[in-house]
Amino acid sequence: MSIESSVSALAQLLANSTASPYARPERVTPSTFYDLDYRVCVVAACFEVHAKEDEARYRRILSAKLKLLQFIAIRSWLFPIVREWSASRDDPQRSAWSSQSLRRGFLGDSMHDEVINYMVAGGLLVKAQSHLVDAGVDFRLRDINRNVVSSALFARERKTIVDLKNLTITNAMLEGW
Amino acid sequence: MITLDSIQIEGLATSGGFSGLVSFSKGLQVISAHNAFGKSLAVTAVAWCFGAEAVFGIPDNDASCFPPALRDEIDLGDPEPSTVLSSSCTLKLTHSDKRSLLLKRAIKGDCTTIEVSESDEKGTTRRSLLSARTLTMQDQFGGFQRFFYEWLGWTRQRVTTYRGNEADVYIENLLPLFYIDQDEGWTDIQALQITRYGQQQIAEIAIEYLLGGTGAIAARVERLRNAQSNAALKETARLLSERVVSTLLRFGWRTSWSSQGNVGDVARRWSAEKLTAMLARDFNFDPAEEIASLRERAAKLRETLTGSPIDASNASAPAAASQKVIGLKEQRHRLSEDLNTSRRQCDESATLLSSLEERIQAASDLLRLKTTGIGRIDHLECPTCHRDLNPATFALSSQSADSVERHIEALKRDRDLLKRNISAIEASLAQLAAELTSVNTELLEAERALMTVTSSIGTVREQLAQTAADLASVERSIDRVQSMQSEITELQTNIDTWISSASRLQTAENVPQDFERRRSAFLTSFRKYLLAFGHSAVTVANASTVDFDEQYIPILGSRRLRSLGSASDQSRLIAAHALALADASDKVGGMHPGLVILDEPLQQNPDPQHRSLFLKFLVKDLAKTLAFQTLVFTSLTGQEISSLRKQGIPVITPEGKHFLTPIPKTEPPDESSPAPIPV
Repeated sequence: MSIESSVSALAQLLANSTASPYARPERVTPSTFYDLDYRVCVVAACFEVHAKEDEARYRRILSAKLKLLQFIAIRSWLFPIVREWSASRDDPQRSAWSSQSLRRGFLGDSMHDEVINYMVAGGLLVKAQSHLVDAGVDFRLRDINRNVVSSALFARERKTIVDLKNLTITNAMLEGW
Repeated sequence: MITLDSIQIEGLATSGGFSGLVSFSKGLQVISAHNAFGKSLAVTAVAWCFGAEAVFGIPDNDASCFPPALRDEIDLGDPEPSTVLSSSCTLKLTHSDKRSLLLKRAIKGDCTTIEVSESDEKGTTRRSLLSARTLTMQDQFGGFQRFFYEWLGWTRQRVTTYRGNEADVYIENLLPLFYIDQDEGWTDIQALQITRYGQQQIAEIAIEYLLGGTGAIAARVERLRNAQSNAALKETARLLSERVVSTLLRFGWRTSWSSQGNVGDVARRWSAEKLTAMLARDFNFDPAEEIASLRERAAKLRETLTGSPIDASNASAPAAASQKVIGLKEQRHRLSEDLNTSRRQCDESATLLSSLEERIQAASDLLRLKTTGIGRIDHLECPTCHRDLNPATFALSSQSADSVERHIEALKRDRDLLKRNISAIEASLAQLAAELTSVNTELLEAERALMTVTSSIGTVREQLAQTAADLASVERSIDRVQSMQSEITELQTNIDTWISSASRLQTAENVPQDFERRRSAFLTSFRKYLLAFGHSAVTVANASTVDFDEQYIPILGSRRLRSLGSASDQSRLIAAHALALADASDKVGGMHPGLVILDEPLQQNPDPQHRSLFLKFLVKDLAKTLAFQTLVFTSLTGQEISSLRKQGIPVITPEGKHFLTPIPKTEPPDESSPAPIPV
């Protein structure tokens, strides 16, 4: 049962009581963050900008890096924190002053894991140990990004993804340290 | 009503003089000549002699609306083209009351003036040289349009502009209603109307003017003036309310002296209560009372300092001064903490607002993605078993466009709420900052007093120092309150001035009932002419549903007439509009000059049906009995000309290959030629 119909069912139940239900379905609509299409577009954009070609000329990216990148891309207001985090990587004293809340927050983004599983199952990506590789099925991942760019969609997310290219992302950061 | 009797163009080229003349009579006439004869040249001369070249979109006194034959080189049949030395055009106009007018303006030469020869009904002629464009309406003695309006019996009409000032209705604003030129005139009704002067609603005013609806124009201009004044008053009220709020915040009072609502509402609200009354009610502050009380206190302190006995055993002065400093420091500390908390709240709210903006943008983009489907994965299938993958299997879902739309609405509501919160926090910040400044000032004074008291020797001196410090502090407070009072008084004066301006804002005049009669006559004529011209969308059955909207744009039912019918109906619509306006003005005693010029109506569409419909119109009784002069410049076949003539339509067919022909050279007077000079 969808959320909206659950609310309607609840409203109906309450209507039979002495309560005066007033349903505001927009308040229970899920955020854009939880939409599959949105996440796929962001993953495609991250992959396009940050993936590198391997010896066999396949484009690939570290799974953990992709997870961090897409997490920041859809929450671009966190970008200054990541920048500070990245800049303080060699200075433990400075590192202690930068925000700690983000560091492990992105690790718990389970929806991203499911999106990746879905894309892998559909043949858009292939898991290769710690990497994700563009399987190249009809170049669909590339097409998704091209359409997003040509339609001028998600400009802010794409800008953040490009800005992230100028940051050094270490393995320690990918582990949340 | 006027009649255009003739258009004459003459000039002088290196190989000799040249000229062209075409004469007209009253009523409908067709001037037929082959293409490139020079018909449009004659038509252009009308706008040029009226000093209305602005309709062609060219600068003042720029003769580039004429072909190079009148400005640079002319082919007069000689082996080489001749350089034009000078050229000019002349119009002859006759008024219905027998007065006549010759308007002559140079094309090559000094075209900044128009030579006017005015003859009255007795034949007395007066010649003047008037400025064609510069101050043409404003110069009472030297402006051409000022003279021409008077000659025509037209009244000078002032209208509002988008720049907030006023301007006249010029002849170039009226010309597009009776002068349809070949190049642009047929593209739309009033296609040549000038908009760059910034006159508001000029297209509507021009129609009302020619219909003689000066009352309607006055009402319209009054409405526009009111709207402008209203907007200016709203803006002043906004600035004033911001000033009141920020000034009172500076004094530590947070008020809601708002300028929301229309001018009337704001004026009512602001008149209901004076600033001083509001301060007395909400903050228990009355500057006059406050000053009186402080003065009383200062007088007592002065008396204590100068005349009252002093208790030598009273050693409480240093403790009291110290206690005051401590109290003020505590207050300052509390205020600083509150200020920091508010600043943090403000920063966090700003970050939250920025994230909300981003989320709204992301959701709006997602909605676009959902509705257009661009870049969406419609389905994914397993590469091995080729079964469609269900996102639900992965605990994933794709939201519907409807759901995303509702989410955007919710985010927008949150954003509005947050914006209001930020405004409230900012106001609180300003109030806290003002309080902190005031406490800091008091603390500084208290610390100085404490220093003086503690450095005094003996209880008597301590008490005297304490009293003197208190007196100084009270006097400074009096100064402060007086300064506040004068600022509040100044604000109240500004508010009172604004209220009085708002109360002067007059209610817009209603459109006079007389104009309804004029408009109705125009509409009736327009319907009649549309049917006569054979507009394909207008039939006898539906003609009564043809109407004008508020901007006098013709509509049929709920649709613009322009978008109905065939492509060739466009020129029939424009011709019907021009003729109907002249006809209606004649019937209701309007100010139309009684002259309509249609340049090349047949060239607007190559459709033979269009040609046939136009020629059919010309032979109808409606066209034959026109009470005003209508000049149709076109190119007809010999058969069409004879057919029209047979049916009583005057067709002028100028002779020659071109409108401009060389003037035959006259023989020099017979003088004995000088004897050749011997070499």
